[in-house]
Amino acid sequence: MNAKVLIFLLASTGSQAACLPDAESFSKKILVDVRDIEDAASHFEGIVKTILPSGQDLIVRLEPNNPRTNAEITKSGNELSMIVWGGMIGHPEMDRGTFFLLLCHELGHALGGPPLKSRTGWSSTEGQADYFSGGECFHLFEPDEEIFAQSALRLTKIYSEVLREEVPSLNRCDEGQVLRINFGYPNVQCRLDTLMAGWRKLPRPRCWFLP
Amino acid sequence: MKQILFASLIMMSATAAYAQMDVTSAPVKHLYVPTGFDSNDSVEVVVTGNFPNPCYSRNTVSVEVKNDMINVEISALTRWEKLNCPDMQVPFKEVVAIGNLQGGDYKINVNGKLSEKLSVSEASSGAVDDHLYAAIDNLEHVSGDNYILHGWRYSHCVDLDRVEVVSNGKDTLSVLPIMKQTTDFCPMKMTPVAYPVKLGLRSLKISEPLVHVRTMDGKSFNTVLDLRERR
Repeated sequence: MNAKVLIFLLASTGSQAACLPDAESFSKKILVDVRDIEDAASHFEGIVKTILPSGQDLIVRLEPNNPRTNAEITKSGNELSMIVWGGMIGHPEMDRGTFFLLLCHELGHALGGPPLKSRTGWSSTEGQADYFSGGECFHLFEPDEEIFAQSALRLTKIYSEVLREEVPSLNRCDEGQVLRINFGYPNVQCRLDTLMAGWRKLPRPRCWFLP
Repeated sequence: MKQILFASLIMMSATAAYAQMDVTSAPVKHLYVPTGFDSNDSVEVVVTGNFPNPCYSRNTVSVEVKNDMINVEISALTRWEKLNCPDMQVPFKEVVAIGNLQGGDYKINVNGKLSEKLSVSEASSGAVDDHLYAAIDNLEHVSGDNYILHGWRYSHCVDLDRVEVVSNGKDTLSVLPIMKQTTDFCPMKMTPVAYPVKLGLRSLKISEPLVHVRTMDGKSFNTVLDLRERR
């Protein structure tokens, strides 16, 4: 229960941890109000420590100057480490609720349970992390469905931009049905459907999950 | 009226000839299992073989995944017409799409004759998959181990970052042409590209290795090289 969030504002993209190949020469300028993000991360820390397993720590690292549009969680022993890059933090669709939902998704990899990415691993699949973030995590920050729905839509719009997929909508759903569980990334509309299903306590959508 | 009757008889004969088609298990010879797949990938393996005469043709491929066993059934169509079936070796290649798999170790069986192990690692947990491979559709031999990957660049906002070559230590080289985004502006403009690559073919102990190139569409370009003349 002794969770802590450490916010590292790494100003240089040249740091070893951030030295990712997709960021080396991408000179996108990002204007980020780091104070809002710091505040949101601190709030996330205060809430999440109530659901972390005993003895587990959480570190959230923000790298606002790295243009990569992504976030990631890693696990080492009892320490969960989240990193959110600048392209995600400074994206026009990003707001406080969307940021919470993004962190909830990453937390869902650690706490979401099966199906796992690997039989012997620790991380829930992307679909399950989405389902957890809508069903178990975001409720801790915001009880309003409309705010959740807009956050889910904004986050998946960012995904669709990165992946150059069709922009998702709350007014339709992915009607595809898998023959086996998708252990990778479902399409963006399916991910939005999964977030909404989690929030509404509905079964996981068949577009990625097979009961 | 006689002409119509004659034509009908010819058509019935043709139908009878097609009725001799049969579905049989394809004579598979080698199963190539590339390395480096993770739980975000669509796993592909390659099966080669030789049909004994031109009356065989490729038919269906079915894949069944049950726990850690993957059973692949590759069938062939046969049509038995003595005059048109002279003995000759007709090579075939099937790229078998197994699809997305949970991380772990698997055993693949093909037609109950070929068997290999497959390892799928656990993918990193990024919110979105921003990993990008080049769109490659051909491999050209230049000299020795020097080859050129030919393909397409769909926008000037991405460029080649590096090409990684990973051997499975047996019969397959996996080529990963990794792209990076270089600008925020991505106009759609399709241009041909050619990327040189050095393949360490001597590390493989087989005269017909598979070169498996991961491509932008999530699948792969696969070619079996014939090194017998070069060795």
